[in-house]
Amino acid sequence: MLNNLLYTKECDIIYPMKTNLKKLLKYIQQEHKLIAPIKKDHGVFLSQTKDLNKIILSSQLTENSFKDFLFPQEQELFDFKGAELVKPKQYTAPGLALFGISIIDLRALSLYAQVFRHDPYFQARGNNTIVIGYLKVATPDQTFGIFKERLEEDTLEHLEFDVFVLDSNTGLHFFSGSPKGQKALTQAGIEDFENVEYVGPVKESGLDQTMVANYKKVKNSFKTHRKLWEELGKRCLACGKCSLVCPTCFCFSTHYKFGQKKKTGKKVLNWDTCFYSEFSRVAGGHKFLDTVAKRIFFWYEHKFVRIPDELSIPGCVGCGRCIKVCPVAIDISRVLAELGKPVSKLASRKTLKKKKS
Amino acid sequence: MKNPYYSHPAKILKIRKESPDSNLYTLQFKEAKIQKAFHFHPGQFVMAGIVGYGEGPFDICSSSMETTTFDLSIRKVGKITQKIHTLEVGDTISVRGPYGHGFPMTKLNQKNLLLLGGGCGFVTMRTVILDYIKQKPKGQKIQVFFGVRSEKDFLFRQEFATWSKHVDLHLIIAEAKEKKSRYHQGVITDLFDKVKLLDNLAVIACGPPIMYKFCLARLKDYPISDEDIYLSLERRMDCGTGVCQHCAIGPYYVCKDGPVFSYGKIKDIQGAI
Repeated sequence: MLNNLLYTKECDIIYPMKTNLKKLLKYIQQEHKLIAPIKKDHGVFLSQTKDLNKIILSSQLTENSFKDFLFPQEQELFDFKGAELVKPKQYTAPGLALFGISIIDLRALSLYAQVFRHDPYFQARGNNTIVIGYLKVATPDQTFGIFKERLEEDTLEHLEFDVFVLDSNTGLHFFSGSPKGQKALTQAGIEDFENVEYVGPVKESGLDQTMVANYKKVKNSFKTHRKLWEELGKRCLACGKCSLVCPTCFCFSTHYKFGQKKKTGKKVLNWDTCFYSEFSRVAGGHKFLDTVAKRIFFWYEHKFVRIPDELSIPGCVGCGRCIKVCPVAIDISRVLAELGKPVSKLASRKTLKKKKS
Repeated sequence: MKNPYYSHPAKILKIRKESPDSNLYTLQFKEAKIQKAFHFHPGQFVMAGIVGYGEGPFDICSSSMETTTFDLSIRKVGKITQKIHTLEVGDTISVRGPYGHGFPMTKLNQKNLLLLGGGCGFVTMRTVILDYIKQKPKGQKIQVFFGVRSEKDFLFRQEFATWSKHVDLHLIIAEAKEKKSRYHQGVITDLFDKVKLLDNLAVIACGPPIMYKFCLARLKDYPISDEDIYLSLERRMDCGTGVCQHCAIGPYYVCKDGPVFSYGKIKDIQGAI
């Protein structure tokens, strides 16, 4: 069904359908703050906007991801008074509408839904947010992400979203993925949409084969490909930019912040990054991840070993944002390619860098 | 929905000085229903701390059969523990947990046990010993090797006499001992040369990574499988529920899948030990 929607003759594009998207977003704006891809000086970012004309509809990924909004950099957990925490009576969150979320980022969002299934703060934000996925299909053989994935018949049923908009040259096609999405589409006056039932992140055909292949490559590679990790450790600046933009990085630490009144304040959760040397520090000063090589391997382990082991889904969705922001041009796809080679055929340091475009 | 980050206030009922830098705190949750619901297995830990300062993981070291209070042995080693050491009886410590998987005692009670504890890593062994004394599983014997740097570093010293009636206790100090001292002198692995190990043995070890390295090397000389050697690991933890990533080793989280692992399970993992 999905593939049939993708291609017809160019002249079949039904422009009035675009009006439906405006109708939907206008309806959603009534009760939600709209977050959508907006052009800024240094790229297209998911940002809050009231002006629908500023929204960029493209097949390009935004520089940032949903995590800025559903898992903010600093989150208040509790107030405290004296020696005790004050438990929130209820968990509140602003009503957000996240529009323009790519299939790649929806995959990461499904991962977050699994990881934070017991976190009342994340759940409250999720419940108050309407997620509108969007895919603009430019060419029939379009692939996305560093793993060259394609849109397949069952792609949508393994993603968590409320509404999905497929923008192909046959026009706009709407899908609802939840009762919330159905309500929004109906209330916006869009009757021509298809319901997609979420059946979980793992396909019936079995585990994602790219994930399985990468798992094997990375798992014991600190021993088998030690030299490669040491080379990467020498090059990596441990700046943590990759983990900030990564839509599947979610590590955090908790802290106390004092308020104006004596012995009062807040317990907060902040993003952390495993690239910082303090990440593994225990009382007394010992750091288990005491070299950059160990820390960069730890980051790959999270994506390609730990998450697949725990949740049977890929911990890297292949967005490539880490490649884009890395100041020393470390390219995750090149590293994975090198890990697939026998040690004797490892490339030199230069080939681990991203190709010049 | 239960809030995984919420810690409950617990009152300090008793403080016992154990060593120059360690105190034993006997605690009780202020809310009776929280205390009543607090059950743990030997080897499990809690996230404890002071609101406004921070929290960290601490092994529980009282008997798991004691339900009205619980004990934490806390060594003054970092910012949080230094602050805890300023507290007095009646003050509050915030506690959440218990977390992780403890020692598989049902399986282990089928075997004799060798407990290897180094320094303040010995803390978690106290639960195993106290439970053993209360339960006395039929036919099971326990040997205990406890190694410290100097005599003053021994924890639970005043309980040694009672323990010795029930378990085969061997104490060793690294620094030169005084004449007529009742302790062995040397490092914990020296006890393998001085003491004949029991048959049908499983091992529980808790101590610094360097102790694991040398003890594991010595244990190779005995017919003990890697699956019968249990190690309790230490890591930084912020959530205690396998999310924040600080305590990850290979595919596992020390807080959720550990802190107790069989050696067989983690021996090939980079950086685990």
